[in-house]
Amino acid sequence: MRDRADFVAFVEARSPRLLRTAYLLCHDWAQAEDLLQTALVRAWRSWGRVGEHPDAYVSRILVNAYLSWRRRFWRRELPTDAPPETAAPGDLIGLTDERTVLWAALRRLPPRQRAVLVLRFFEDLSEVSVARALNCSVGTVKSQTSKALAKLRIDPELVPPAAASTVRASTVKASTVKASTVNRELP
Amino acid sequence: MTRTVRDLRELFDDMSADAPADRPRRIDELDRRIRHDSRRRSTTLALAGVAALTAVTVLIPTVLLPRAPEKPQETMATPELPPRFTAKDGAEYRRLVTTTLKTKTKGEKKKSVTIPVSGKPLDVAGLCDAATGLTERPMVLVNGKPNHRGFSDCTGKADLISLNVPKGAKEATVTFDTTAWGCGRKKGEPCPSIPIMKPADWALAIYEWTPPARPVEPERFKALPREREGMKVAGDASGVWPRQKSFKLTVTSRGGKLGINHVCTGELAERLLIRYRISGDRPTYTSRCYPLDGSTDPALGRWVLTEVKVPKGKKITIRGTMMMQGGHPNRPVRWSAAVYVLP
Repeated sequence: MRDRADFVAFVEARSPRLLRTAYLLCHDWAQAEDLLQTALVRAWRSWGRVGEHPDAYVSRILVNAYLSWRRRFWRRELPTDAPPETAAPGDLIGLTDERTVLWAALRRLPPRQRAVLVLRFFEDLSEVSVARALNCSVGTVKSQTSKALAKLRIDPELVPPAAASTVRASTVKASTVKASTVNRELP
Repeated sequence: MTRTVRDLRELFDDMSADAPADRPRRIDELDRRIRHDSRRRSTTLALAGVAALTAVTVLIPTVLLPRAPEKPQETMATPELPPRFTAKDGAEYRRLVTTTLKTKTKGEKKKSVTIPVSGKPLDVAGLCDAATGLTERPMVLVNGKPNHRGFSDCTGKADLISLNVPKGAKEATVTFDTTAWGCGRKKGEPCPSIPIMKPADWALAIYEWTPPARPVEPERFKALPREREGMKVAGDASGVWPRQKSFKLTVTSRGGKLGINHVCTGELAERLLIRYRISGDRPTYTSRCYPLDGSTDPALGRWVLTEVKVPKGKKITIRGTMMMQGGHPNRPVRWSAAVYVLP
């Protein structure tokens, strides 16, 4: 039977890693902290019944809390790490860094597919464990993983290496371009 | 392992590596939440009993009685855009109208709503269906004229932007229009083809808000990092809008390059624009403030410096002017700007 001391020890030891998982799911540190605490509160409710390996159990709660948030939540302001005006659709400046593009593409994946990728490739869970966490079959995990990876590969923003070098060269003058673009927008 | 998977693993590791310092009080916060959760659950159980009794005594007879015909709903209610909510700084939001623009499923390109204008500030919220990639975003027009700001990219989260209504107006017609996206704002301007843009369905709502009774001080944060991308801080300034609306810095860059960065806190941080005028005949540079979300240390952010070429070794004056889009004095924004130079 697990007790409060166990729970406190678990929170202290595992919170940093779980917070990172939460961040990869929701892409925002404040929401990640909130998501983590929500999951831990839920975990506490049934802490006495958790077996020897609470990690998988709490990961499962975390992911399910995230998925239910995505279905229900209203989130007001849109936190961005770039000013909105740089994201004009015709303007690929700022989208050329492959990692930035990949990060942005991940953000647009359906929540369940994103969760599968985070559990598989960050938490390093097996397909069986992911299936257990998401309450689905191993086949579904496989198909969701391959769909998500396919989406990331064929995403229109993923500039092929040859094209990337051309665009990257043009970003050298990004600040000049951005400045003039923005000035036209303002009253 | 394909390159994408390897990249993905590295990306996950790197992007989550900048976690804010672990909260020593997380256990205390959890304790509070657990106590609150227990109380709420007990109350819910009690209320469930009361509700069951109410259903038997009140609702069932109501269902059995003939009902008056319901008025047709003019707009579709969207649970994600609530009728009322309170912002973190206490500003009260009240929804005036909701509508939808179903470009993806119904091919709708344009929708207009008319709202009463009481003189209180107005915001418009837009929520597109998630995971649609780069999407067509509706342009927002007020009485036929473009609003001063449009929606950000479609991410599945609601975006809340200020609505600019002419002074003295008693009502306004707000139009959401995807037909003109990317085609400029002048009539007849050629419309380039943007094949990567996908249509999306949008839930939209217009809110009227009441600011807090007194100014709510935005969160304080640490100074901007002294070094960034190989450049060092040559000057910085900070303040709180609307009390401080401008600054002036004089710097010298031996390497012939400046880097500019700024961050803000406050509920309306993202609405503050900073216009930079750099001495010489350079065009002004304007940028929206980067909100510091969930952190008080700007060094944790992955901000990219805006680089400007300047004459080597010459004194350069940088003037910054704050411009607020849809703000209020009782919802101030704390800002901090720094200019970096190549040593």
